[in-house]
Amino acid sequence: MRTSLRLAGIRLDRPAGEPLELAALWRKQPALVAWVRHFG
Amino acid sequence: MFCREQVAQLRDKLPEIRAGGAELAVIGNGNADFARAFREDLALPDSVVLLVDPELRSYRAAGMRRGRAELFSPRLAANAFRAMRTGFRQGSVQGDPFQLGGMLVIRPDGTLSYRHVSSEAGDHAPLDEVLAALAPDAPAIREEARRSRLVPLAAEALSRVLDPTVVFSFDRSGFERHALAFDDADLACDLSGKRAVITGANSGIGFETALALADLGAEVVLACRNEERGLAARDAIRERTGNRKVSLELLDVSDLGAVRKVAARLAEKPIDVLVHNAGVLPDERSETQDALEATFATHVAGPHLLTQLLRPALEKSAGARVIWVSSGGMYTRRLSLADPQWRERRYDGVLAYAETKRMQVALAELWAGRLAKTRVLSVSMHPGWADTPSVASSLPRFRRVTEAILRSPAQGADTIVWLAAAPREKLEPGAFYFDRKRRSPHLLPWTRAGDREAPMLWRLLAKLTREAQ
Repeated sequence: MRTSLRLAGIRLDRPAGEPLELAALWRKQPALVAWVRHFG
Repeated sequence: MFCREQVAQLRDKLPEIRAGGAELAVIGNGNADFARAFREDLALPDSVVLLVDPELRSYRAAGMRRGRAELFSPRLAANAFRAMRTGFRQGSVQGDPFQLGGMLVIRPDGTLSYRHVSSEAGDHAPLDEVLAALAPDAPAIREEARRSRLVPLAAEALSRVLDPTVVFSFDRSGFERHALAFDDADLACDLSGKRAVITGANSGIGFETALALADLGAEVVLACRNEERGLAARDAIRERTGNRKVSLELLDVSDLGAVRKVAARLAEKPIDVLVHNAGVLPDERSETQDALEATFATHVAGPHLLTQLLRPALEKSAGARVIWVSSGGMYTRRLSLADPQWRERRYDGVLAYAETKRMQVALAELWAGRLAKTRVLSVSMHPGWADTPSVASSLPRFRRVTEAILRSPAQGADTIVWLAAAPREKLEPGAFYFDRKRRSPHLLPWTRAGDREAPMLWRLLAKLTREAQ
């Protein structure tokens, strides 16, 4: 399965608690998504 | 410090990223408090989407690495020196300290134009390459992993040692290890023009199977009991794959009358893939309106009748596949027809589940025999231990204990998708599969049944489905 499809349905929270479905990041425009090891 | 260094570099390139028309999102392994502090310290504008992923689900889905060995790489010291020289200091670490990061550029059509998976802390994507990948004419990258020929051999050798433990085979690490031997070319196919019917497709493994087959271009019929959840699944699959040929057919597979009605509609066009995935695990014994025990009706009688009624539509396909989604739990039970409907025993839902899942494996073989002179293939499989809504609701204690090692539903669905789409010559009629490989349907010697039980099952089902007319 394509990586984008595996990611698409995952919902993550913004720091304020508001959830976002990852597919929304690239539905209308390209998205540069960076995974950092941690916020330290 | 590496994370701050990387995100600060991205922040400084924000005008160029925006010029490419792209969204910038940063996902971190930690909680909301740390994320807020991270945004403030780095003066990240609100337009940069910041998300927290303490369960690391997106890391796993994106294929990011996790490992202790990488943290002791000789390059790590050089990376640390570089970061410190440019003014970055390590903040307090939380979340999983062994998780590594990376970067993807994902385009609206779902293709990737850039992928960087960090091989150790501080191994950042070169920014010039990232920015080049944002150009509208940047080529899509191939997603198939390029790996040494030795990797599958090493993975197979390791599996020979670890698979007998069961836990390290059925769990997520088992999938990840087995996947090293997968041939990516098997699913590099186009299923346009193929029609798949999947029962129990509104969540968990059934949903992921439907999603993957729709993504490969197949027309997909979700056969589900619940209209609201079925429609939600249909819409989600259409939206995520762009495939409009996804439809819902309301079906309670335990209701033989409903099976007859729905089968009549489904059989109007050829069927290339039939996935018997719907499952139940009730605490207490109950009977359907056909006076069948519910687990037996859902896993065995209903799917058997559906296969029988759809046989003409399956035979119209150039090479149809019937896939019985069994369970690793069936390994504990022997095929027995002594009391298949729990009329003479005190009911135990878990045992009823395992017994009917054993019957499914036997049925896949029986159907393979019946279909031997056709182009229809019947096979069974088990998905391993996957974290599905059914497991959460039916086996909450099992889930609590195994939560950290459960497979994703997509990992559980992988072998179903492979059985539906892989080249025909790779599949054996009647065989039992797990993680894209033929497996023995017996791990324990006392679960082997005699020669009489399987034909008895066939006769029993013939009688029950005739009576229910």
